[in-house]
Amino acid sequence: MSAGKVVVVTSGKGGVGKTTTTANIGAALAKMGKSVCVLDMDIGLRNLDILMGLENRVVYNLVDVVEGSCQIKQALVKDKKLPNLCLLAAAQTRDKTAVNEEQIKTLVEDLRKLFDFVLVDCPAGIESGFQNSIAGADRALIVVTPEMSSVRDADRIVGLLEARRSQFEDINLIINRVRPGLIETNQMMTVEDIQEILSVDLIGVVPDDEDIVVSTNKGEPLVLTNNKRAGQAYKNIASRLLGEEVEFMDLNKSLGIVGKLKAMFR
Amino acid sequence: MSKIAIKQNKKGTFLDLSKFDLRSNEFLESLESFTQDSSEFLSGSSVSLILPEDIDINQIGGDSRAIVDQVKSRLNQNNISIKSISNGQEEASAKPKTESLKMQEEAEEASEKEIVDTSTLPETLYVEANLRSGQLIRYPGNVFIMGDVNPSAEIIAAGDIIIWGKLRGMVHAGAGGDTDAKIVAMQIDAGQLRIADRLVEASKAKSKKSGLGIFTAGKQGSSMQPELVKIENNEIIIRSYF
Repeated sequence: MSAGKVVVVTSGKGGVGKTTTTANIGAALAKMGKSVCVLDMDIGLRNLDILMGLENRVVYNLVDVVEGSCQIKQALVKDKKLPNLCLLAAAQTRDKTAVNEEQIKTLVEDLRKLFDFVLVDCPAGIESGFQNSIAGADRALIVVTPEMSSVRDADRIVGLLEARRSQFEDINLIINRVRPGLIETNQMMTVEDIQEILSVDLIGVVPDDEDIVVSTNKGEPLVLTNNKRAGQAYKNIASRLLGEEVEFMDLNKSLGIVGKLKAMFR
Repeated sequence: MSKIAIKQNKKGTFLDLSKFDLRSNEFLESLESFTQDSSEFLSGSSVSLILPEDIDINQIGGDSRAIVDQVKSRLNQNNISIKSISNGQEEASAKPKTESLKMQEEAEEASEKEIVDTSTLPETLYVEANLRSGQLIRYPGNVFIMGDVNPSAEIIAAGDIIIWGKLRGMVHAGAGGDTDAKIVAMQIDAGQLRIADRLVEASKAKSKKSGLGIFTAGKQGSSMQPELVKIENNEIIIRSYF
């Protein structure tokens, strides 16, 4: 088997949906038949295990692997539904200084041999946690929400990634939590506004969807159950990662006639 | 401890050392605190020194030379170069003889030129890239950007700043005190603009232009109009370039 791709999901700002994006794209790729490892790099503030519903199955974590307390395969937690999807959890009782770039590079190189895709869930910020997360990556997905603060932080991230451009095959943008109703009434930045500032190739636009909250609490990525809106948007991103040409969804359509009317009168 | 005063006029920026005994420890302390407090603002620019009257500027030698060299190297460490040297007899504010002084010195020996650096601003810095959040350009001359300057990116230049793109970040033209410096951009959506020692909120400088700026950026599209920022009647103004 040829070496897999290492994709880092990052954003700069916290709370924009990095972990949700990682879980959903991971699940979508696995559903498409790829072997996938999702790697939680948010040491000390781990969440990815909860989103995947695997928190009770974690025995060993990333720091254990790096420190040699266990083998990689012992630390990988298999998903409940998708046998070709695995989680490598972060340590909750340690912090970002527990690992360094070289160690992560080695870890990621090992994982690359076992999986088609390694998705790295990067912590917020631009400090060592971020530096470690991008250390072994060859693609980057930047998650941004239509807010000035998020766009500015994403811009900083793009700058930092561009400084090591030769490392990355591709740097792509995911615009998350888009609310077509607000855009219609000129109260939210448009997809074009964001692209215009960041000038990074777009790989997906994910509409705001309350089903996300439900799926997070259930510990079941949305893509496994939902074929509408956000679920479909994540699947489309997974397809595009595999090199397929997929048309971007018409978000206004998802509003429905009632929603459109509402937007008009808001 | 007294502070080293910065004086500015049409001829440039002066550091007034005339009230100091350059051999004293007090002066060294003042120099130290000056470089800590003010050097960032002056970084990348060149200044003229005003020395105490008792130092004959036409024959700087021995002790005085050592002191001048020390000041020079301290300022150089902070990316400030020395344009010329005069003494207290010629008040910077009245009629600085720096021009004539310079010419006189140019005719002198090479050894003298070591102290008196008559070089003008360096070549314009040409950058073909988008300047992103957190990125900083500091340059002792003119800066030309072929691209956008994004929110919270910064340019600090001793000369003019020309942006062949959209300006949304913070730019400081004439950072060494040149009030004739200007800023030109294809479109200005910046928060704050600085020229020399002046600063203005961009929205106030062009109250004429309405709208939410960023929210409507995508929709305006082709209505881009080059704009010019400069100091007029002691005030920073923005107006259409044409």
